[in-house]
Amino acid sequence: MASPMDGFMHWMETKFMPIAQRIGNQRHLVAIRDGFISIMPVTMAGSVATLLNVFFRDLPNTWWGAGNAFTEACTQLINVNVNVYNGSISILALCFAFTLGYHLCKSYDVSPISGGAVSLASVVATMNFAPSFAYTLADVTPDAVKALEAAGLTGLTVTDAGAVTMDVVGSSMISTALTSATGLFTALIFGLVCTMIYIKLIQAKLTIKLPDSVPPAVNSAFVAMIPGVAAIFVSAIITQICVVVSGSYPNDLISEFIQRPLLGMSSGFFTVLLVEFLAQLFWFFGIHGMNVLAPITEGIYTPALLENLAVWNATGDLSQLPYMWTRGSFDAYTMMGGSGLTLGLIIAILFFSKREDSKTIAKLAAPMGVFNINEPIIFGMPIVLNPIYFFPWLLVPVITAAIALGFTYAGIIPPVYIQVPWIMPVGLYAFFATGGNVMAALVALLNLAVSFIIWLPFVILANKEQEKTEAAA
Amino acid sequence: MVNILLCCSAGMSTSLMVSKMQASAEERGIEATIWAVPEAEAQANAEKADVILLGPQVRFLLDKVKSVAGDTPVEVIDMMAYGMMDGAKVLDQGLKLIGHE
Repeated sequence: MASPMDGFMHWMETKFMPIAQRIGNQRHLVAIRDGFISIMPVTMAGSVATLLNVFFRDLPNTWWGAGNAFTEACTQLINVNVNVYNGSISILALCFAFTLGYHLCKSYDVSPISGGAVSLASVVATMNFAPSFAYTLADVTPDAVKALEAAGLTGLTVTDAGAVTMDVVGSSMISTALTSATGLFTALIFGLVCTMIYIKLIQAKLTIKLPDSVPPAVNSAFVAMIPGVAAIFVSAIITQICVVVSGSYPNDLISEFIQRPLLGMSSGFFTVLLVEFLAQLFWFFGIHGMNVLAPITEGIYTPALLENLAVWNATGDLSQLPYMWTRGSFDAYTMMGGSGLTLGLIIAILFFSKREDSKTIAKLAAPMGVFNINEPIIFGMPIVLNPIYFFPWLLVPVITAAIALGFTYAGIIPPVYIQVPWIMPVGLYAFFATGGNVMAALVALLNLAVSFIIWLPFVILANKEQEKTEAAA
Repeated sequence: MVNILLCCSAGMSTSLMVSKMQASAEERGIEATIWAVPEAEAQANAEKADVILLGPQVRFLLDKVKSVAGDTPVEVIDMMAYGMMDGAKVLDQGLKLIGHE
């Protein structure tokens, strides 16, 4: 029964598997993905701290006004969360520099701990340790500015709030702008390049060899020496060239000319729909789409989420969040019940399917579907290579993403800026990921309803398909 | 005593498979250690396993996992059995690869 459809499916499968294989075996991409996955506990801590402060401080402040008794009573709890934030989101680029170097070395079978440390050191070597910033002069009123300037002080500015600031240059300090989400791409680029230098030099045996009489433990400490020194020096030299030639540190250039345009483009309407479409297409051939695309989704949409989180903590203003679509947006609005929004399919089957096989699978899959696990549906129905479900499978995530993007761009719901475990059930995910936004939860539920409406005709079509084969039998 | 390692994207859906397989092994009186890990941790766990079974959704990683598994046999779980969460059938698949029974 080799129909043209089967031939097409086979052709697609032979085209798709190698692509998935190539991405899955590309060491640098995999190291980036695993690097981001490894810092998840840290970023999750920062997300939880931010979320708690939304409920302790931000929401009560909007409900009852600033200085309300509830927030006052929570002061120390709020401070604990601020400490957590400082230890997580504020330094996550440093954590990532380490985990990236670690995973890259591991894939090349080179001592990963030293490699992670070299990567971290190389990234820090790019940083400006004498940042300039506006220092607020306490108790100085704007009318004193003239007298101060006459006394020889320069760089004085009066802010909108009426405070007087002075431009100063610090020493022996790093701005958290470099170590938080804004520094992620610098960590990524320098971490990759310098770790690769380290790995290649070790593989080229450019190492110090000691006589056999030296204990092996001592010897192995010397192996990493020349490659490590070289890697960190390369980073430092590139940085200095950058400073001399352009007057800016690498991170200024990278964040302005690479990170911001790339993240901005990735949260654009059609890019998001394309990613959704590709993920679904891979899944249709039974390949974990989000896993294949993880280097992209983790490497681009996760930094966008973390940047949003950092901006929220700096400004407390949702309208300032720079990126409309982030890593969590996929899960919040288009993957309820798992890829393909199969929770909608499960509901459609439970109420409208006449097929015993489908109903059995739906009942088995429903409890897992609540937590966004849907392998039973994908492989059991199956969805994989099933022509009946091909169109809704591709359409549902694209349409629901478009709906959520529309609401976000219209400013009705805020972009996702808090990391939430992906097993969070429908609605709750969107609620927490947007800092407790009820509208966001409603949009997630709306998308569930939309998916149900799209899935339903195809469930009925599947009924008819079976009637036909039974009639023919 | 058999050691069966299951491997998928996040180790989530295979963890349910693990409990179904364990139940099946107990029923038959087979002493088995069965556990699930995300694909990224396959290498670290490969040594302890007599056989590695991949979830069908990560079957594109078959060559990669084979390369880190050494002599340990690796195979992709039958798609239908996986979808139906048929523990007995997947257990059979694993046992057959080791040549158990």
